[in-house]
Amino acid sequence: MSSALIALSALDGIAVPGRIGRSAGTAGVTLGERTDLGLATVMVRKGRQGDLAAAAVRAYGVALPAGSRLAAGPKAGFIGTGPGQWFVVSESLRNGELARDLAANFRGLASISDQSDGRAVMRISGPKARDVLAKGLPIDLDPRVFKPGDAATSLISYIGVQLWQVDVTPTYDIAVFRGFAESFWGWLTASAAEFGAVVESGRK
Amino acid sequence: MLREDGFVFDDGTTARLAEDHYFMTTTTANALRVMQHLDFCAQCIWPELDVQMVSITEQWAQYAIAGPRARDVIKRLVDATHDVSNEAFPYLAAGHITVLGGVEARLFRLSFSGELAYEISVPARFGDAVIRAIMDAGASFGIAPYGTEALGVLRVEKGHPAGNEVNGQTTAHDLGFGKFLSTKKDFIGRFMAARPALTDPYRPTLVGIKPVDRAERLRAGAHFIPQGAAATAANDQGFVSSVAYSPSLGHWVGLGFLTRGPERHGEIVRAADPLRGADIAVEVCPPCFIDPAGERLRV
Repeated sequence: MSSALIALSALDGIAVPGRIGRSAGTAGVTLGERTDLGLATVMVRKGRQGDLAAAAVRAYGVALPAGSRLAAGPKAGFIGTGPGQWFVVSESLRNGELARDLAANFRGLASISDQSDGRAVMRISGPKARDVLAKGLPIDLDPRVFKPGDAATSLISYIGVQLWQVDVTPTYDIAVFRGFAESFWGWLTASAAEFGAVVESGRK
Repeated sequence: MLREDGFVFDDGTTARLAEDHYFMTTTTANALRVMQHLDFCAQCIWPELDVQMVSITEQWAQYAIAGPRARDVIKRLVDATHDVSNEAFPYLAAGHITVLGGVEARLFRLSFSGELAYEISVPARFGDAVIRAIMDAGASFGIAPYGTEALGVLRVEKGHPAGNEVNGQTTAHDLGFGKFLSTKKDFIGRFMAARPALTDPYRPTLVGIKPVDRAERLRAGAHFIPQGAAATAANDQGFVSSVAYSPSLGHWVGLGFLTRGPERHGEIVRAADPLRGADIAVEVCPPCFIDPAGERLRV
């Protein structure tokens, strides 16, 4: 793409790098927007589950999860969001590249929709991440029952979220509809303030 | 789109982007309910169909560019490889294009205002940059942003039913859309729409109205009463649903539902509004006040 148009992420000018909330001591969490991810929905075509599963292994090295789990491959992670439906996240296939790649690999097997601009994805990481999320998420994130690779579709502060655990730090990624990003960021920063938070810049 | 009970549910546009790929719009307030309805149909009524649906409301930033110079503005935005002439991209055309040096976009030749118009959509991250580019491209033509107030006037002038008309109590026939109902195939609402009360020829049906004294203002909510009759419920023949002052015509225009309305164009009735103390004579007319042949859409 040669266009000189400036792309703005959902939290451009809102998720400003720096320290927020309690200033003393080590920050309890780091927060940040994950910009320019490739995001897409994959919905299986009728009767093609087996072929789609085989194509996912072949093209992405991933066994499609049947439940609310994240299956991470080298190019993209697949999160089960319903029967025959996945939300796909990629760092290497950015923006619309992911949907184009999926469409090429799953031709005739699934319907693909680019959602890279339809969702804002935020990352929360650190020893107090569970305490922050507990203020709004009605799901038990205790490490005995919710582990890296587990995913959930739920509500935080009346905003629909998709959430998945990235690692044991713990680190979570949270996707919301783009139009709710600023409202959600307001909830997230207010909820993290008592622990002190470092806001990191978006694209990595 | 009808409900199962035969009343109108919502209206929108559907564009075919590929052999097996459609893009559907709804009215804003009904987007969620239409999505639920489509999901219900796919999962429960026709589970045998091979169809997948997903909301892309937040993925695309979409802008309407309306007015006689709309194509001139579009030409300055769309990359040169795409022909947007009237011949290559006529009224109701839709397609994938690129704009401003390779940004993927979708172009729709749709008009809500009644003028030559396009809707252009780009991935939301470019929404800010593209609306600025649209305003820059149109600056030399006197481009101006318009909001829902202007849109409300434009749609009344064109006789497009909106929320005041598609209110859950009106049928396709009431709204003048009866000709769109298929007589050859089944559809949701077909059976219940044939109930006697819904096909009663005395049902109030969409009309346009103009004040006989063009200086008078119309009021939505007024009821239609025959001339010389008392303004009582027994003499009620319908009501005024939407009004607007038309700057193009220099007087108020309105939409309403009048019993046997389409047969009464040219007749004078009263719009009685006892709540606000108004009772004025109005002329019944077709519900389209500007360019009824739709020529401006197709230039």
